[in-house]
This record gives sequence, structure tokens and C-alpha cells, in this order.
Amino acid sequence: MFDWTLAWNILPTLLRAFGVTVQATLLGMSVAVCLGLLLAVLRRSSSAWLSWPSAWIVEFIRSTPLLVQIYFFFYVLPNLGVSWPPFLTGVAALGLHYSAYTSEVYRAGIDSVPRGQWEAAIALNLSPYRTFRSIILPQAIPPILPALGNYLVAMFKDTPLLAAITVNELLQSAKLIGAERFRYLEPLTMVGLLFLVASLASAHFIRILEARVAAR
Amino acid sequence: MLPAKQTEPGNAPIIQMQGVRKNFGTMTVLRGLDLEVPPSQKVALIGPSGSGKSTILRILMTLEKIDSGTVLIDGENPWRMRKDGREVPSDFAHLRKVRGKISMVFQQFNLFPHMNVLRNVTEAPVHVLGLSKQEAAQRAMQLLEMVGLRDKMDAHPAQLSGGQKQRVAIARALAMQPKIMLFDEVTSALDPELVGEVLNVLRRLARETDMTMLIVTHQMNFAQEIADRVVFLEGGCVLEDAAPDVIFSHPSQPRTQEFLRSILGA
Amino acid sequence: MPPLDLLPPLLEGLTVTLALTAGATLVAIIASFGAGIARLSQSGFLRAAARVYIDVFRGTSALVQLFWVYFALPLLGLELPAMTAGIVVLGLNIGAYGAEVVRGALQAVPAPQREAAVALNFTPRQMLWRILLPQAILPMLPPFGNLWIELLKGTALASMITLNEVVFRGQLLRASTFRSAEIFSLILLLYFLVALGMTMTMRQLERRLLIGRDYGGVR
Repeated sequence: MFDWTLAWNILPTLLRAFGVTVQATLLGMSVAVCLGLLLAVLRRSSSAWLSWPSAWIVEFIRSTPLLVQIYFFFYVLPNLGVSWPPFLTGVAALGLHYSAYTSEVYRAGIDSVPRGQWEAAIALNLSPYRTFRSIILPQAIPPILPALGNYLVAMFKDTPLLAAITVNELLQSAKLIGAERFRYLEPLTMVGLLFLVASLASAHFIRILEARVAAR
Repeated sequence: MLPAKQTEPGNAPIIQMQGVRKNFGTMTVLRGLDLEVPPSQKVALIGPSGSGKSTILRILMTLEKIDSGTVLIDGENPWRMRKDGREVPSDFAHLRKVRGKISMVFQQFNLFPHMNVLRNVTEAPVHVLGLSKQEAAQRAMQLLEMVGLRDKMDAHPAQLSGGQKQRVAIARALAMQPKIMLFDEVTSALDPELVGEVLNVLRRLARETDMTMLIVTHQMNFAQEIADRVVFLEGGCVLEDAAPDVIFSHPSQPRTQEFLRSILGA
Repeated sequence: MPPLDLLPPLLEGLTVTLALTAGATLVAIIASFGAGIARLSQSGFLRAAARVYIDVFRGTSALVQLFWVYFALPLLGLELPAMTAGIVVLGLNIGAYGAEVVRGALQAVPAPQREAAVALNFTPRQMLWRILLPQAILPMLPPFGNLWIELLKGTALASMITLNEVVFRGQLLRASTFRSAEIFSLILLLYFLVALGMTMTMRQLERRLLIGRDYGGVR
């Protein structure tokens, strides 16, 4: 039933694809972490011109499927003259989608900094930039690291969607092997196991991180 | 280090509040408040809770805006400025310029928990006043010496007692060399045995510096000792305003008498 | 000038999306409560089984699970049509996350409640159904609302196992008309509107359950 020799033979190919998966995740998360902070700051802006649109953008992105957003990037961008390789398109779509989530996490972190810290910064006449950079963010970020970690894991599990735009990550790799050898059972099961192992390991690390943060 | 004491305070008031009204939602906290403070004066603000004492300080520190009236700090309105000969709402640069003349010490200290004591005191001088790290550190160490905490330079706020934290907070505010220092019930959150060390610092500031000081406090003996002037507030207005010996020995208003009696148990 | 001519085929696809969502929701509810309660069971076996189910379905990608059920399972003898595969996989996937919500909410019911139940000599089963669950339901609703939206979004993945829901129809339209921007914008808008409707439904549900309850701190 389960062809173990085949499973062993395809492992190198799958591991190469795993590298692509990891790259996509790390790059996508870098985008999400930066863009999310920007969105969070815009949402807290006292100017309605900035806070309203960013709130709606976040809501829209969170309410619509990542797959459709990926298709949108993949098919519409070339019509606008932007021709990126699929990997880059995928990373951009992942980053944008998850920035909507990370922005909410940042907001929660920033909101949890006690009001007295803002007031002390005003009393010392610190500029808004300096207030954020030296006073607020250093206090807002450590407690939210576990939540960001969870989104990193979630993004990792969403990378198979990039198979839809031909990026050669794990699922795409399994599909290609399956089509080539006419057996889908082994490649797909191996891919599932790889994800499972990676997920459980990251979940474990995140729990350690949570404990460290709580101990402060 | 601290600005030396001069002979007579100048004439033009450094703080001018006229007809100031402040509401919080449906509650009116300040009703048409008038208050003028000449430079270098040490003023104690006393009164029952809810009388608006802290609100006055918060307005001066530009933490709150007013609903009507005028506030002038060293002759300038923080929220309005002159541009091309007309008066317009102030821009952020103007607000910060006016704000730079005042510093405040809070009841809850509000030290930055993720920085050690030295950095708490040097952060603003470096990034707002543009001092070099060495200059700021020098200034910080002198001030910490003055408040008796130089040996705690590397400690973090969590390792300090309440009294120590408040003294660091005072050093931090002084490092900005403000013309006006506001003290918002700075000993109210402290255990009784720690109150003295903070009052000692305030005493020294009152006696040895030229700064204008506004002190909201319940420590009546202290107020009597160091203030040039005591202002009694109730219900959002100034009810009585006189020298300490006058107010504490023969206050003219019955409400003042009542308040003092309840607080001093006399 | 709105691309109304694209709507009919997309709306047909949307009905399939909604059917998939409804079916998967049912599976998810059963799985969430089943596994969530099992996690707190006296039986070590039930606890372990629930733990395995939750870890496997939360630890692997929904799309990989879909592919496995649709392409790999036939090789082990079970061939499911796309709709069934979608309902089962999405339901079990969201159900695994829901199980943690159920477990968390049950554990969050204040200890004094359990003590009162024991003092009144309730059996564990009675305590669960009469005392704990009724109090746990309300705090479950906001996270359930989020998971429901995730389920809706997950139906898009079924397009990749050839189910003719709205994204699949969109791809067909794109292949024949090349009007990508309009097609995908419309699809995004349709999802957004459905999600809005689902959120409002959840709010109504929350409001209904709040009637007659003394709940401090709820907006």
C-alpha cells in the first residue's frame, strides 16, 4: 500500500522544496512585520483621513481569502506593467495578507502600554517619533512576540497556496512528483508529515517564548 | 548645576490663566479659573479631591486642552500662535517650543521601566535638547547626586523603592532645565516612611533654585514651610489665595477653614 | 461602469461556496464540541485521541489536507467527491481550532461554579451540560465568529480540487475573458459582503444570548 522506497527516494526533492517554503515564509513575514507596524500606526492616527482608510483596508484583507488575493496579484499586476516572478508575487501577497493580522497585534501591544508612559514622554517634550521609538515600542513589542510567532506558523501553513501560482514549494513539488510517478499517496503524506513536524516544533518554541515573556 | 537664586522675582507673570473652563464629558472641573504666577514663585495648590488642582497642572503641561479661556506660559499661548500678523491655531513645533519651558513630576512616577536610571534621566536631554551622550550623562550624574541616588545609576526602576523612583523622576524632569516645575501630588502614592526623602528634595529645590514651582499637595506642614503662596481650590475655582501664614492661621473663607480642619484634624 | 455580466456565473459559484460553508460549519460544530469536551474527559484515551486530532489538523495546512483526501485517499480505497471532501476537511480543520476554543471557555468558567455543582451532588455529566456549558457558550462566540470567517475563506481552497465554487468559476471566466482585475475584484467584494453578513449574524446571536444575563464589561 504505502511505498516506503518511493517515500525515501523523493525526500531530497521534497526537502529542497521545503527550503523554498521556509524562504517564502521568512520573507513574507518580514513584509508583514514591517507593513503591519505601519498600518497599526496609521490606524491610531488622530487624522481620520489616515485612520479610516487603513481600518477598512485591514478589515477587507482579513475578510477575504488569501488565495483570491494571491490570484489578484498574480493576474492583475502584469496588466499594470509589473512583472514579478511568481515567488515574489507570492511573498508580496502573503506579506500583505498577514500585515492585516500583525497590525491588530501591534495595536493591542501599543494599547497595553500604560497611559503614564505617554504622559511622561509628553512632559519630557519627546517628539512623537522618539516617543514611539524609545518608549512605547520597546514596551509594546515583547508581550506580543508569541502572537507574532503564531502568525509566522500560520503563514508557514499557508505557503501551499503558492502552488496555485506555480511556485515550487512543498505542495507543488508533491503535485509534480505525483503527476510524474502516478502516485500521490507518498508525496502528499510526506508533505503532511513535514508540515506537522515543523508546526509542532515551532509551537513548542513559541510556548517557551511565551514563558520567557511572562517571566519578565 | 541648579540655577542660583536671584534677588526679586520679575514682573511679568510666567503663568497666566484667565477664565479657564474645562469639562470632562458632562462634568465641569474648572469654572472660569483665574490664576497668575510671577516667575520664581513657589505655589502650593491645595483643596479637596475633584477641585481641579491636578487638572490645572495637566493643562499647563499641555496634557489636556481647555474648553474656553486663555492660558499663557511665559507670555505664549501653547495652542495659538501669531502667523503673518494673525492669530491662528498653533502648529506642533510651536506647541513643543512652549512645552519645553515646563516639566512635571507625576504621582505615579511614570519612569520608563525598560531603561535604567541613568538612561531615564538622559534620554530626553539627548533627543530633545540635543546634548551629547557625555554631556547628558554628566548632567544626569550631578542631578542624581543631588537627589541622593547616584549609586543607583545602573539600576532599573523595578529595583527601586517608591521614594527612590520619585527622586529619579524629579532628576529626570530637572535634567530638562525647565523654567516651571509642576509637582502633582508627588508623595501621595508613597508609603509614609518614604515621603520624607522626596520632600527633602523639594525643599532643596524651593530654597536653592529660581524655578517657578507649582506643587499640588496634601502635606500642609510642608506647604506652609516652603511655599511663598498658597492657593485653595474648590469646585473648579480659586476660593482663597494668600501667603501661607495667612491661610493656615486665619483663613477668611469658611470652606477653607473646614477643609483645613478636616485635613489637619485641628 | 460595473461588470454586471460577470455576476451570474460568479453568483452560481457563490451558491456552491455557501453550501460548502454550511456543510462544513455543521461538521466543525460537532468536531469542536466533541473534541473540546473530550480534551477534558476523565478517560485518558479520549483525551489523547482528541489531542492527536487537534494537533494533526491544526499542525498541517488545510490545502495539504484537502489534497491528501482528494488525491491520496483514493489510493487507500476511499474516493470522495470534491464537495464531500471539502465539507469533511474544512469542517475537521476548523473544528480542531474550535475545539481549543471550547476547551478554553470551559476551563475559564470560574472554579466556584464547579464547587457549587459538587456541593449539590451533580454528576460530572450534569455539571458539564447544566452548569459549565451554558456559561461557557457566551465567551465562545467571538472566537467562533472569527473561525467562521476563516471557514468561509477556506472554501476558496476547494477550487484547487476542482470544486466549482466561486473562485473556480472565476478562474474559468478569466481563462475565457482575460478580465482578471474585474473578476477578482468582484470575487473579493462578494466574500467581503458574505463575511459582513456572517459577522452581523454572530453579533445578533451574541445579543440574544446576553438577554437576562448580568455581564459586566461586555460592549
